[in-house]
Amino acid sequence: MSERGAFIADEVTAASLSKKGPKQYTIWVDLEFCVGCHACTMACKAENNTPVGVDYNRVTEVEVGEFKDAKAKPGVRVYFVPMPCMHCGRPACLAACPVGAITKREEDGIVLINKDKCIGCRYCAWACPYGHPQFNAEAKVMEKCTLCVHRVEKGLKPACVDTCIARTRFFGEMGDLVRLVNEKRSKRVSLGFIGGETTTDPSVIYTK
Amino acid sequence: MTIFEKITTAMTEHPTTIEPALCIRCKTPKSDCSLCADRCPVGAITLSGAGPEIGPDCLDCGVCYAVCPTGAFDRKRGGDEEIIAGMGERLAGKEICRISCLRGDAEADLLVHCLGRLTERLLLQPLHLNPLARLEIIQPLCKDCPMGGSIALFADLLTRVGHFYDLLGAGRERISITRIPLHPVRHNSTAGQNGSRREFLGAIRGKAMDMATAMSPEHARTGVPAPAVSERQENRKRAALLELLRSLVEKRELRPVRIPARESITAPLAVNSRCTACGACAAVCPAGALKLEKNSEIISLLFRADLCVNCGVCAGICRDGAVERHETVLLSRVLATDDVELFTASRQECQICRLDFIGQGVDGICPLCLDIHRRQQETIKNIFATPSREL
Repeated sequence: MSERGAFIADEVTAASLSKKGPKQYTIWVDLEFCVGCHACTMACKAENNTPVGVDYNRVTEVEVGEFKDAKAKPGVRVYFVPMPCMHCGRPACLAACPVGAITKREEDGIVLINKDKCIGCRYCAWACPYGHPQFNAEAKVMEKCTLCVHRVEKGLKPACVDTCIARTRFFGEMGDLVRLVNEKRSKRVSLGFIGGETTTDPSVIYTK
Repeated sequence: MTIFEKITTAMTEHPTTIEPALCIRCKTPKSDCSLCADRCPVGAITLSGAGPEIGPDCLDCGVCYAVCPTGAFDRKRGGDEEIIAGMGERLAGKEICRISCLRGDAEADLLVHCLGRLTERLLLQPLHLNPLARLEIIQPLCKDCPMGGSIALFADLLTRVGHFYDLLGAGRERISITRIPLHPVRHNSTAGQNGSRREFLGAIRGKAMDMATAMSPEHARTGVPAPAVSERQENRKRAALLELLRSLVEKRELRPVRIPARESITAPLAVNSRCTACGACAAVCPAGALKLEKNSEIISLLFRADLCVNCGVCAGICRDGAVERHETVLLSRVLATDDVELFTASRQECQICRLDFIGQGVDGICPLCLDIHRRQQETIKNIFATPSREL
């Protein structure tokens, strides 16, 4: 009899299962200008017709810094962090899926759930370090951000990128975006990738 | 149909087909089941992400059909039904059923390509025809035979069949093995061809295959990619075996036979308290032996011992390690048709994700939502806590 959970690989060993192909499309979010309007969340919801409770793009509010006293320079700042799927290079969700319903596309690195194969066991949600995959209670399967693959295939940008009122979301091939960051925001502090290469090798870039 | 069409049809219509909905590998790509590929005597079966595929080297020996526990392989010609249909006549009045292979004793009552082709059903059928039946298996020196790879599980098969003979009160002593030297391949018009004829027919088959591929690529392959929707299919191999067992049991008193779990065709499953009622085991079970049932109050995991094939995928898949196997099992369990409740708990619905959950929630929120919230908070903390990074 197999060992307990023998078929579930942890995210680090998922390295053998997938890696970033020649092309990885991703999103760069400059947190400096995100005002927390949630337009990206709404655009995503409208574009992908997600049910109540499922949001592919969630915006979290973070307070950074400390309030010293009224005389000191203001040290407190609020950031809004929109978090779509990171479309990782070593997706933990892909490794955790017992039926192989999650795949990472060769041509653009987008990680997708095959809803026909999905059995709704939520192992992917347990595995994802960002807690991204969500359960669709009507269809009884898991759902996640598809990087608007249906739009990308037509040469358009994801709905969240197009709609951003602060124009602070950018979409493109990872190499191009990195170059853009270094050009346009070289004075800005770059946060790089959440978690970084030691975990699931996420693709979404954040700067502040 | 012209003669040529008849020949090409016979050549290109492969007698063995694979049903992806029954294949353990197709349903659960991570499971390492490779019984068919391991046992194929000529290595004609390749395993890929889409499951098993039978290549052009296939000898049509039927070992893959015999070895697959879920009956994912089906044969239009040369299946167990066909062999059993001819048995009644050949064994009429005989007490001893002599069984051998093409390299063994050509005068045997039951002759197969290779002893690896034998199944529980074929070895129990003589008992059905004659309650005093004895099996004499004439086995040549398999290790010298090029098909020797398919014999590796033969001893296990005899152990299992011996258990059944014990169960039925006939006794495992009724099965004996006689070893003889390896003989050259016999001329047997029903079972096989000699070297030169095989080459000739192989050449024709190759040509016909090419033609078929050119005409319709999808139909030339016997392996089919896994279906998008996993419709449950009946394990007809198991159903046929159970039918035979039930008719054998009618005339007999069952002995209480308790055997080690690994020698059983059904698993003595148990579910411990780590179960979260996620239903993954029930969804991946290739035999449909596990069922997650819900009503407004309760979630239960139900098990059918007669359907279980003891493949172990349920235990391998469970991320909480909740599915276990007892050490031994009462063999008569394989005839039981009742649903056994392995696990039950009161059902709650999460306020946030509307998922069913059991056990420890907080304020009606499921453990997964709580954990996700914690993970997201940590991620946010990290993004600002760590110093800036080179891209």
